[in-house]
Amino acid sequence: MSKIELLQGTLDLLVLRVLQSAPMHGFGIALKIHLLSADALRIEEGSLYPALYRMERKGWIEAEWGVSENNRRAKFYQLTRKGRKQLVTETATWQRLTAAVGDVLAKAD
Amino acid sequence: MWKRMTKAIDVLFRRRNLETDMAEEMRFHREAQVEVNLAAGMSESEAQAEANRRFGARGGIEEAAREARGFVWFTQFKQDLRYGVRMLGKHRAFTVIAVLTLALGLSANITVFSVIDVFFFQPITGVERSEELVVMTREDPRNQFASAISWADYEDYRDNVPGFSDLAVILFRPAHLSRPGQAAHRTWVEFVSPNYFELAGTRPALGRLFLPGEGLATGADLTVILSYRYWRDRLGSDPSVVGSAIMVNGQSCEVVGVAAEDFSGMQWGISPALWTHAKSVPPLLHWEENFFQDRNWNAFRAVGRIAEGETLEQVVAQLATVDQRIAGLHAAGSMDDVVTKVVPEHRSRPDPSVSGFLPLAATVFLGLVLMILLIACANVANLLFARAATRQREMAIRASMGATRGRLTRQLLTESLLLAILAGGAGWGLSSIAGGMMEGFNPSGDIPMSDSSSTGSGWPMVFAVVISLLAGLVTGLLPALRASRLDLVQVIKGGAGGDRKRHWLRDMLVISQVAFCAIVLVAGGLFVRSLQQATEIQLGFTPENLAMASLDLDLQGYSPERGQLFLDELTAELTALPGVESVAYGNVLPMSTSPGLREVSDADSPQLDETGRREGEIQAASNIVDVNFIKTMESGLIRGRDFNAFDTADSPLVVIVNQTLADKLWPGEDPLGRRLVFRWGEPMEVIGVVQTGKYVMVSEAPRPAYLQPFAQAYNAPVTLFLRTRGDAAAVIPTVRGMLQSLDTDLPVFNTQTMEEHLRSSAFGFMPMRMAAYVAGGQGIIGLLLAVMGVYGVVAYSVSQRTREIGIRLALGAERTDVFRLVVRGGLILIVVGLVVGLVIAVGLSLVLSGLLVGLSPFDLPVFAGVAVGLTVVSLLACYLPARRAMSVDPAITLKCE
Repeated sequence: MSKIELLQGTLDLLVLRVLQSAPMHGFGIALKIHLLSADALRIEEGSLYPALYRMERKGWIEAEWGVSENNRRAKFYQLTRKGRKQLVTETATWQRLTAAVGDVLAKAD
Repeated sequence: MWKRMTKAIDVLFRRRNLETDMAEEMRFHREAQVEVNLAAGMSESEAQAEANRRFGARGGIEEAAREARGFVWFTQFKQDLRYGVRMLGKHRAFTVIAVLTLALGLSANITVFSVIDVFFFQPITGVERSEELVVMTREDPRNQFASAISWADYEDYRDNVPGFSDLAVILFRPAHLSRPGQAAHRTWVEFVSPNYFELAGTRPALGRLFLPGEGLATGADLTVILSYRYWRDRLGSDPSVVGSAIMVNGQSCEVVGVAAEDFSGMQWGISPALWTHAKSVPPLLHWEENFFQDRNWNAFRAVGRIAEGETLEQVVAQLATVDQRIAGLHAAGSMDDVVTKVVPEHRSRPDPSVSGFLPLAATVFLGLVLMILLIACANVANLLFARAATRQREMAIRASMGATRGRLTRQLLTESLLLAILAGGAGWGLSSIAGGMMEGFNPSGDIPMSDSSSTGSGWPMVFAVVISLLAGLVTGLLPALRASRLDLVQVIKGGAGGDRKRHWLRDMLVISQVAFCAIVLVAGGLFVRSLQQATEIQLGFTPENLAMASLDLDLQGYSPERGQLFLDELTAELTALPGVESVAYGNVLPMSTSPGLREVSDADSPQLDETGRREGEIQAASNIVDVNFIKTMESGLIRGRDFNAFDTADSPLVVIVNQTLADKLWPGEDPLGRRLVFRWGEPMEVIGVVQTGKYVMVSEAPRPAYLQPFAQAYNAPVTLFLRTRGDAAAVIPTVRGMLQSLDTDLPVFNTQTMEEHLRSSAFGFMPMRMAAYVAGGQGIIGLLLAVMGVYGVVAYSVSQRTREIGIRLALGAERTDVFRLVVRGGLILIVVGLVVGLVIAVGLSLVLSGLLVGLSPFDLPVFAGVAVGLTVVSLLACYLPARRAMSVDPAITLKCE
C-alpha cells in the first residue's frame, strides 16, 4: 500500500470536513482520515497537532476536554461557525481545483 | 476579538496549564495508538515501539505545536533570557571583554549625545510649556550680532502681531548689587517687560511677582524679584528679605519677591541675579529716557509664545508687515535687508547669531562616535563568531531537540542584547565620569551660568537604551544567523570545516574596523592640530606674562572726571609694583562677551542716509585705550605714531587703525592723515597703523579694528592689563588688594591671567579645546578598539590554522616563513582598510573645514601620522599571534586532531 503525500493546505480541509459531523479528539481525526481514505492517507502526528493548534488560533475550531470512548480524558475539537464557513469555501476551492486538473488530464493529448 | 484576547492572556499567564494540556493530549494519542497496534496483533513491546517511532523526535512535535499555538514568543523570550543569563555567567571572561568593549563605544555615544541634548533638547526649567517658547531674532547681513530690537519696535510687534499670544523682552546687563551698608559686588540682572513672569507661567517662592499695572511708567516702580539662587547663595536664604531694600548700581530698590527655585529666567544657559522692570532702565543704568522712543536703540531680546492655531510661517509674515510699516520710523536705510524671524527657543542656542553651525557640529561628532560604536560592535561580533564555532555542538543538540532555526537565532540574539544592555549600563557609568571631566569646559567670564547638571532631560537615557539595543542587534544579528545555519551532518562528523564565507566576513570586519578607526583618528588629529595652530594665531598682543582685572566705574556711579583721576592714580600705583613692567587699560576685553563692534567709514565718502551711513561702510571692532596700551599689549605699531599725552579732550580727534581696516577703506593708499568716522560720530584723523589681531573670536577672519585714545572718549567699564616680568598669576593678589585699598566698594572681576582668559573664554580657545579633547578622546578609544579587533581576528585565524601551520612545519617550512605568512595576511587587510578609511576621511575633513580654525583639510602631518601610526600599531597586534604560530609544535598539533 503506497502512501500519498498530502498537498499543502489539504490537511486543514480534511480536518474541517471530518469534524463537520461531530467533535473528535486528535487521534480520532487521524484515524478517521486514515480509514475514510481506505488507508491511502496517513496523517503524521507531527503535522496534525501543529495544524490543530493553528486552526484553533484562527478560530476555526475550538477544543474542550471530554471523555473518550474508553473512558479516558481526551481533548475534543469541534467546528466553530467560522470553521463551517471556512469548510464551505475550502471545499468549493478544492472542487474547482480537482475539476480543473481533471479537465486538463482528460482533454490534453 | 474578545476571545482572542482572553486566549492571549490565557497563554501568557497559564502557560504551565497549556503545557500539561499538551503533554496529556500527546499521551492520550500515544496510548490510543498503542491500543490500535495491539488490536492489530502486535506484541506489547512492538506496539509501544511503533507508537514512539511515529512520534519521532517528540520535542519536535511539541515545539512546532507551541509555535502554531501563537503568543509563544513571550514565553520563549523569558526562556531565552534565562538561558542567556546562564550562558553569560558561565563564560565570564568572554562576557567581561564583550561588555567592556561595547561599553567603551556606547559611553562615547552617550557622552556626545548628552552634550547635544544640552544644546538641543534641554528644557528651560521652571517655565510652563517651555518647549513652546519662541525667540525673535533680526538678521542683518551687515551685522552678525544684530538679533536685538528696540523698545519702540517691541511695542509694535507686541500689539500688531496677532500670531503672538504674548511677547516679552529682556535686557541682560551687568550690575553692581549691595544691601544698604555693605560693599557692592558685580553680577548680571535682567530688565524685563511687565508681562515677563506671566508669560513664563511661574510662581514666586516668596513674596510676589510683578503686579498688573506695575512697571508701566518710566522709573515709577523700582521693585525687584530676586532669583532663588542669588537669595540662597548671597543672602543666606534670609526669610525677611521681602520688603527690604537692595541697591542696584547705587539706586535703592525694593525686593518684593523671590522667584521659584527652578526658575532661572527664559534665556538658555544664563542665570540672572534678579529681575526688574524694563522701565527702570533710565534710573538704574543712567540711560536717557528717549531709550524707549529711539527705534535704533536695539537693546532687547524678545521671547514669546505663538497663539493657538498660528504657525511660525504666519508669524514671520505678520512680522514682515509690521517691519514694512515701522521701517519708515527707523533711520532711513537701517532696516534695508533686515529680516525679522522667530525660531523655537531650543533652536536659538547658545545665541541666535551663532546657532547656525551647531547642527553641523552635532552631526559630525555623532557620526564619529557612531563609527567608534561600529568598531566596538565589529569586535564583539568577531568574538561571537569565534564562540559560535565552539558552540556548534550545543546548537546541533538543541536543533535535534526540535528547536527551529528562527528559535536558535532568537536565542543567540537575546544573548547579544543582554550583553548590550549590560554594556549600556556600564557605558552610562563611564559617560557620567566623562561628563564630570567636561564640567571643566564651562566657559569663563563673569556671567552667571545656569546650573545645567540639575536640569537634565530624559533624552540621554532614552538614547542610551535605544543605542544599546541597536548595538546589540548589529553585533548579534550576523553571528546569530550564521551560527544557527547548521549543517547537522557536518557538525556530527566533528569538523568545523573550511567555511570560506566565514573567512571573508571576518576579513571584512578587520577592513571596516581599520577604516573606521582611520576616519576617527584623522578627525581627532585634525581637531588637535587645529587647536595647536590656533595657539599660534597672531592675536595682536602677547598673551604670556599678562595679568588683567576688570572694573566698571560707570556702574559704580563715578563721574568721568573722578573716574579719570581714579584710573591715573591706580595705574601709577600698579606700575610701581615689583615685577610689573607696564600697565595699560582699555574699554574692551578681547575675546569676551562685549565685542564693541561699530560701523565705520571714510569720513570723506558721501553720506547715504540720516543714520550717518556712508558709502563703503564696514563693521569694525573698536576699543578705547590709554597711552600705554599698544606698548603694554605689544600690539605691533607698523606705521605712524602711538597715542601720547598730547592727545587730549581739547586736541583734534585721532585714531589708530589696524592693517585690515586700512586695506579695506583705503586699498593701496596711505591711511595716515585720512579721516575715519563711525555712525553718529565725529571724524577722527588716522595717526597710526597696527598689525591685525583677533578681537571678537580667535577663530575669526581678519577683522577691521580701530583704537581711540581714552582721553578723547572716556568710557569706564575698563580692563586693566599688567605686563609682568615673571609669572603673571603672581601679581594678581596684589592687584586685587590695591584695588580694594583705593575703593573698598568697587567690584572687580576678570582677575586672572590673559592666558587663563583665552583658554576658558567661549570666544577664545575653549570651543577648540573642547573639540580637540572630545575628538582626541574618540580617536584614542577608536584606536584601542581597532587594535583589539585586529588582534582578535588574527589570533583566532592562527588558532584555526594550527593544523595547517603544523603541516607546513612538518613539510620543512621555516618558522620565519610561518611568521611572515601570518603577518602578511594581517597586513593586507590593514592596508586595504587604511586606504578606504583615508579616502573617506578626506571627504569628512572637507565637511569639517567649516569648523576647523586655520587648518587646511588636507593636513599632511595628520594623514601621514594616522597612516603610519595605525599600520605600526596594527602590525604589533599581528605580531603576538604570529609569534605563537611560530612556536607551533607540528608533532603535537598533528596528533591532537
